[in-house]
Amino acid sequence: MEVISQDRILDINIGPQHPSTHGVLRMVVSLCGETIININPIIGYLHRGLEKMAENRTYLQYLPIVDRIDYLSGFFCSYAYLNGIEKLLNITPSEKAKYIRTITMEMNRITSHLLWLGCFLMDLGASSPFFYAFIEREKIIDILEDLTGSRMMYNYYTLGGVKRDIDIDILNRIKEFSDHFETALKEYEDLIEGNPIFLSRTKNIGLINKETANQYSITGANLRASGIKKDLRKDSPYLIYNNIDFEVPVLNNEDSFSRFVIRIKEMRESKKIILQCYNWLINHIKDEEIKSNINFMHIKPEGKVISEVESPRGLLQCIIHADGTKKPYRIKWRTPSFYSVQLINNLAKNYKLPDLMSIFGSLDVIMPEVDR
Amino acid sequence: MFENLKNKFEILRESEYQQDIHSFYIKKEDILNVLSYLKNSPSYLFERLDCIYTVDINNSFEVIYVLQSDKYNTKCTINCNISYEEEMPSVTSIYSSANFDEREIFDLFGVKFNNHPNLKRILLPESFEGHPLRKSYKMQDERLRWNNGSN
Repeated sequence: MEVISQDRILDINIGPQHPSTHGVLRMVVSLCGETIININPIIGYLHRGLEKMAENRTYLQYLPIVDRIDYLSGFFCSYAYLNGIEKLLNITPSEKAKYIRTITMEMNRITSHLLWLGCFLMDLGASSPFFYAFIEREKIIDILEDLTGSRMMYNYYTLGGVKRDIDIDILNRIKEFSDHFETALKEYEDLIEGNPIFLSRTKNIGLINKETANQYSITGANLRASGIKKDLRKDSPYLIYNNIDFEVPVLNNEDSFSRFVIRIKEMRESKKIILQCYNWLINHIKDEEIKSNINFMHIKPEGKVISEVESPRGLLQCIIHADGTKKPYRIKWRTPSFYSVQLINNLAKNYKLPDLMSIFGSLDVIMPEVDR
Repeated sequence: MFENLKNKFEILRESEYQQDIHSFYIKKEDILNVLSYLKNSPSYLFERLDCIYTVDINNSFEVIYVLQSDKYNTKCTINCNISYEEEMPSVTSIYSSANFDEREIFDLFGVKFNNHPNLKRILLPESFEGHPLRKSYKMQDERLRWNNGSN
């Protein structure tokens, strides 16, 4: 390999305030001409000490904070946390609560993927897909707002279920949305997939092979784009994913483009799951049991638990060590984006600087989750 | 399933998470051997290190490695008990993802990792004093006095 003399290397600083770093990531990029030699990601600008905060609060007081770990997919964090406590206390949510949790989580997955889609294309310089994606995202968020009272920080799940029952009006709006969503997905595909600029900027760029993916603990859609079929919903089903018919899309191309295709396909699968949950819920609209009767304020669980969920970005784990008092002893959040950020140096090395944003954007990293 | 591991290495203690995830307590000198054995041995193939985390418990640190085997669809944890002053060997040579994990533990707990490529604070600024996730850490926040001064 050609040895590059030190005076030809230029260090430039990207971020932390930069629109395509999806929050506040800072990257110190060493360049030789326009070629990237090394990237040093610097994180921590959004660190709020969420793991320390848990130790100073009761289980109930910590619940609203949990949504802020990943503000684009709050339901998943809430679920991971509550599922851990439920396991420790041996509480099983009722069937209806499980279905409501599944339908809301899948809707949340679609909003998260749609935001990613818009931002990814924006990173590449195409501004109209952003608005197209937000048209559909806005519809789901409006439904979730009417259901939970909040647009992003839902705080909707509670011990053994959910706080408010889902009513027929909201169910009908969900149905209306998912019937229409296929045309929207088709529109995105027509708009984006054939675009020669998009193809040349994403195909065969940012390759993650299987070994690297496992070595760096990559999970979720990024892993499935590298040809490893790993989805927690299939491998160790939680909630009611056992009863649901859906596919796990896998591609072998390992590049940015396949990560895009995987996410579009995942939205389609989510839509299928939503429709099946709708069909169950519409027949059980009269069921009343949606949460447990145990008083959340006074719980004192004991033991340790690893609670997992397949979040839009990958494997999200909430590890709780409880010591029988009303406050958690230690809570650890294993967040998927934390591991994707590490990979950026491997992926973008030897590419040109403009490719950095297309590679980084395709990983679907979100900073609150990285810094916690 | 873990018979081979128990025969080959000294297991100090065993415990269990809810839902049948086994944890094995081993000596910290063994950690590199145990992890590379678990990763490469065909009867385990723990190819992915989900995360490393630490708990400050009984006046010592417990460093916990959460491993995932895709082939056998199983999980286990390897635990090491160390005193506050002891250092751990870095496992970045076996699992690259451990790089950020170990930096995070160094940052928040103050555990040093030997042979780590770049052991610096990661979440907190370089100028920060103390290690906040230690139980002995006192938060000096004026607002906490409304909480009777307790952390």
